[in-house]
Amino acid sequence: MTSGVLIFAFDNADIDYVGMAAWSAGNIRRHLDLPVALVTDREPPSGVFDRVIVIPAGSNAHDRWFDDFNKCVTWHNTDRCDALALTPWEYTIMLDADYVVASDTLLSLISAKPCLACHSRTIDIARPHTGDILPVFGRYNFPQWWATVVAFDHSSYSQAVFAMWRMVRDNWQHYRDLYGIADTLFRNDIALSIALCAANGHAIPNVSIPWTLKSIMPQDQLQRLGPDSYRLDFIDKKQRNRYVELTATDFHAMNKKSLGEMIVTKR
Amino acid sequence: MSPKDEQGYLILAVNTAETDYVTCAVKLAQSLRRFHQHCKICLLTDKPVQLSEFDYVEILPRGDLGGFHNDWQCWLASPFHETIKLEADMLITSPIDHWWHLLRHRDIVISTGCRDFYDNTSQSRFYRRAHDSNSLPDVYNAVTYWRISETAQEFWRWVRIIFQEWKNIRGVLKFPDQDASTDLVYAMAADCVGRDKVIMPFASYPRIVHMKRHVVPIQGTDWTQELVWENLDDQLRIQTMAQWGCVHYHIKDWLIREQQ
Repeated sequence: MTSGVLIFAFDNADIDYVGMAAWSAGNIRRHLDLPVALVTDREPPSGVFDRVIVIPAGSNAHDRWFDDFNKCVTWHNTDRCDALALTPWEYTIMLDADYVVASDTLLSLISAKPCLACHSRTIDIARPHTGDILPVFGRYNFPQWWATVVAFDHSSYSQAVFAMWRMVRDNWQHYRDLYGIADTLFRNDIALSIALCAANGHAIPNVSIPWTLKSIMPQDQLQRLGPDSYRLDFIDKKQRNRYVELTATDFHAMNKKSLGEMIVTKR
Repeated sequence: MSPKDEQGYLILAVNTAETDYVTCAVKLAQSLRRFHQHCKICLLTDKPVQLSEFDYVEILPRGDLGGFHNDWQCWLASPFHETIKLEADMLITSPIDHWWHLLRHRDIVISTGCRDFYDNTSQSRFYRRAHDSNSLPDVYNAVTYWRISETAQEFWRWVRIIFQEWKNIRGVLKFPDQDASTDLVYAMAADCVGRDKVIMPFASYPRIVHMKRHVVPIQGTDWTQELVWENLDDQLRIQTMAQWGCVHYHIKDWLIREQQ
């Protein structure tokens, strides 16, 4: 059985997602020794990715407010539900381009090969006292899973989840009304959560990755100290400047501006 | 009363001017039959009625004492050696016959805690002020198992005494209800008998889905008007979530309105 990583990356005027994915591919090979496939809308530099799947990005763009850029940025995020059809691997770990691999933690998913797994719990690295967060969405607190890391095979359950994910995307207004979702912007996390429950007989599925997704918030600043060592500068609730150092810890860098600058300058 | 049958479900339902509890009981019995066609069901009420949904219709042996005050008569009137009492305004949404095997390790078991419709244990204490202030167990009378035994007899004796002496007893409680509520009376009786004998607080069964406002995240008081629900032949879904076990729907005329 072939196993590999799949990353979706569509550049816009402000964020070099393909550059992030290329940097991430290096980390993935170093820690996981897995091939990396990229889904994008233009040919990237050769030799960086093991497979490149080019699809048009024209019709799937949204404008989304990014706190770290302090403006609306064009965002291509609606093709993720096609991952099962697009992936060249029999077992896939789909990662956000801004997920930083700094350890071999994800290999345990390759060993266990759950038919589908993603994160339900998340923690803000800069504010761990708030505890693990079990997020919810909509007016009636529907439980939310994260599409940041999704491991999947080609089983009937995975196929049902991705088909339902696509249905939510194609009928976003209906699902907004049904779940009381205020945000007009399509969100993969929400669509995946709806799909997971529907495909599981309308019951809470047992698909959670057993460890917590560590996240860095958009307002916090990231620096690279070494190959797998990072420094996170943040302001605490008493408005004091603080920092924390991370070593050999995977994390989701939601501060894309800071991550992009770090990759470009190789700090 | 000497038992007429080995085990069965007992539903106490006495109509009031506002609420047709007997129709609620019929709907509950129908939902039970969907999963357990041959189970025995007894209706305990104040007037003789002929309803095919029930194997037994028993009349309150001490007559209608009014509202919750009839509750202790369940012990006197149950025709079963082993009884699971169910509150009338509930629906059964999945098989529950495994409860018998799980519950008969004790002489009596009162359900503890409740869930929201996502199957999360409710953290709301809004309706439990008297329980918490008086360090009483978090019991729900909605599902109560007992078999004929000394422990059960003792428990029901305390339930009767507390109901009958409520005006005197409420004086020793912090934040007591004006009128005796069954959950509070059961909690006090559980303490009198010894709570370790009558509750299993760490068990996930039998536990109810409660649809009251502060347990589920609704803005108003009537979830049936606010949430999307689908009452199908063999499944109840609320906000697309399939329900399991007992759903305490609380809006008494919900199913009657649905029928119309």
